[in-house]
Amino acid sequence: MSCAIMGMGIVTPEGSSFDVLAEKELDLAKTADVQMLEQFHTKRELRRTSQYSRLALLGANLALRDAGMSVESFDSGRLGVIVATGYGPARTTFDFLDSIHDFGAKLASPLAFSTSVHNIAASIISLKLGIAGPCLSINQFETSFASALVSARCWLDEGRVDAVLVGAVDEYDSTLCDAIAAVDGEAIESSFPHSSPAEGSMFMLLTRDEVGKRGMLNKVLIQRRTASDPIKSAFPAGQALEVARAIALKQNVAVCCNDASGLESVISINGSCA
Amino acid sequence: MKCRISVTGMGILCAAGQGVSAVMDTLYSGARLAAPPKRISCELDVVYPVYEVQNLSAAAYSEGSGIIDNACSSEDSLSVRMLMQVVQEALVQAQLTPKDLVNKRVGVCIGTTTGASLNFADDYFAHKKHGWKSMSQVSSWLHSNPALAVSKYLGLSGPCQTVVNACSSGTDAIGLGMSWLENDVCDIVLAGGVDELSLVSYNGFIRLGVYDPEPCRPFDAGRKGLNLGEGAAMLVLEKRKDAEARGIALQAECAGYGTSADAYHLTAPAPEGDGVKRAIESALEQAEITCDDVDFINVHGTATPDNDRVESRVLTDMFPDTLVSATKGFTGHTLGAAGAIEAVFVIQALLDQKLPASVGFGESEDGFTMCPVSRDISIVARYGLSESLAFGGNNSVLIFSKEL
Repeated sequence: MSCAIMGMGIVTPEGSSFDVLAEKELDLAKTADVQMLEQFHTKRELRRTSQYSRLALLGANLALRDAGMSVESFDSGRLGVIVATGYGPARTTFDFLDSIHDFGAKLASPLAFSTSVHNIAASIISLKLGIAGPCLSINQFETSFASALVSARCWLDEGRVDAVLVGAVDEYDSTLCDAIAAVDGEAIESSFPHSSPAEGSMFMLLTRDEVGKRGMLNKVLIQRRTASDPIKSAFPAGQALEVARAIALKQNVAVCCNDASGLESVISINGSCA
Repeated sequence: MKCRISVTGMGILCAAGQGVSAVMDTLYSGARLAAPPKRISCELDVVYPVYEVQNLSAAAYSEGSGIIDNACSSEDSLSVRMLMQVVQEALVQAQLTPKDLVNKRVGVCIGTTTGASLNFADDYFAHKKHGWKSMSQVSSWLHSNPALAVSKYLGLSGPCQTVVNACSSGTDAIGLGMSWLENDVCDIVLAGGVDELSLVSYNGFIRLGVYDPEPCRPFDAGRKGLNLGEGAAMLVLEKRKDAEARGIALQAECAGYGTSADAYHLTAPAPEGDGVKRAIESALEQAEITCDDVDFINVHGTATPDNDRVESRVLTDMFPDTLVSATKGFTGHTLGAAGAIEAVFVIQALLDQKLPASVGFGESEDGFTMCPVSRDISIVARYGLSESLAFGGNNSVLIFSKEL
């Protein structure tokens, strides 16, 4: 069954307007401005919320607004959240390691620890938006986003939820970037390179409607890799930005991506029916 | 449910042992295996106990020794090595070889926390002094994503998902596996969980003030928190009609899965347990049964004051007369693996018609009417329920049924 794409939100270091998607190459290796989040939440509500979680929360809010909906449009227990990430919350993880290194185990920061868990972004979306339905986080590098879409479709098909906010988020961190580059630099020449850390988020609101305001999600496949060469996406989490571009430009495309473990993911989008 | 789903194979390893039979022997013997950590060094005044896996069998994953021909590489994390051991055990029981999986749509869904985290502490600390020169842990992290590793080593083609839902990850991985089969996304699913002890989670939970310096005491009046553990568990899930066509023994039926979010607090469960109740109701609805049909419950029972209080409140309201078993006194809290490990305990309890004592529990807190079983008991049970509560307010529930 196809899913209707009712709304979409993007956050990039180049801006959050769909216009930025017209650019072929976006510079995602820097910090994105998420001040726009204050249109949705007070500064007090955002206290102690990390950049990683803010990226996801802003993307989710923008997707709802683009759909012309709010959480109140749904039974909150029947609205799901799925967050895919390539690398997870790097900065808060390193903050916690820094606190152990700099101050010792006895003074390591419990706040940094609690904001470094991989489901922090999905939990923040659920908490700040009051979403009480199923909440899922996925972390498997380049196939994360496609994998999130597989489970989103299943939840909709089996009637577990009426709608799902599904998205991808990653944050840029120069330390992680250097670490991954160093591993790939040491690897033998034929090794499959890993994605570079990048920053941003992309969220979609999916429903079982027959027509989507932003088009339809037709097919998602995860299978053994058929191409020997790397097909990399802009986000470490997979094809989220390429899917966003297809939706914004009203294209019908199958977006591919593959990874070092030998998997490839294919996401078919019909943006022209919107 | 659109189709009936059966468990045809199980594998498990944790501090209580390696293999279903050995682990259940430990549970039924009441042995408690908490000890100071051997692989983690943390400069604290108190040595907090852990439930560490001992002597991980080399035979299960070395080249040519088992049904899985691809040996694990030196870059594989302990998590991946533990996973491949339980995959092998589960496939043997399901009478499946990797060749049998070729040309089938085989899904892999694995829950974890540390198995996917950027917890490369030693490399990171070295980097702060000398730059990125020591890279073995970073390389291992990039190489060892749990679901991707299982799919790769078995050469599988199908949906693949590493679920990072904190402490409900293992339960959610099995629930998602059920969903994939129900929606005909694949033919077979390997669903489970894995987690290894790590300095980050050990130090982190101690600093959150929820770690008992003594062996943990789920639901006991004197409980002071959790102890961490490590391990892995795996289920082979198949559509019942396919498993019956193969003539394979069915271990249990996956009857229901429910999941919900509290939307209340990042680190504390909602005090009235509304989210847990909704997850239970959702699982009961899918299983098409009522609370009265559930014969026993494997609780999350981390032994933190908040968790056990909320679970006690919910179960007193919904299941006042149902037997309750708390098993983390045998395994520690294995985080992302816990839901999968406890799914095996529920299924094996249905097969054995027996519940293990809840070690660590002695006396209930004032005002608690719910007490976990304090000695091994024989049961007559058709339905067993397993609960997982997680950081961030996630609540997930599985219901298994004895195959009739």
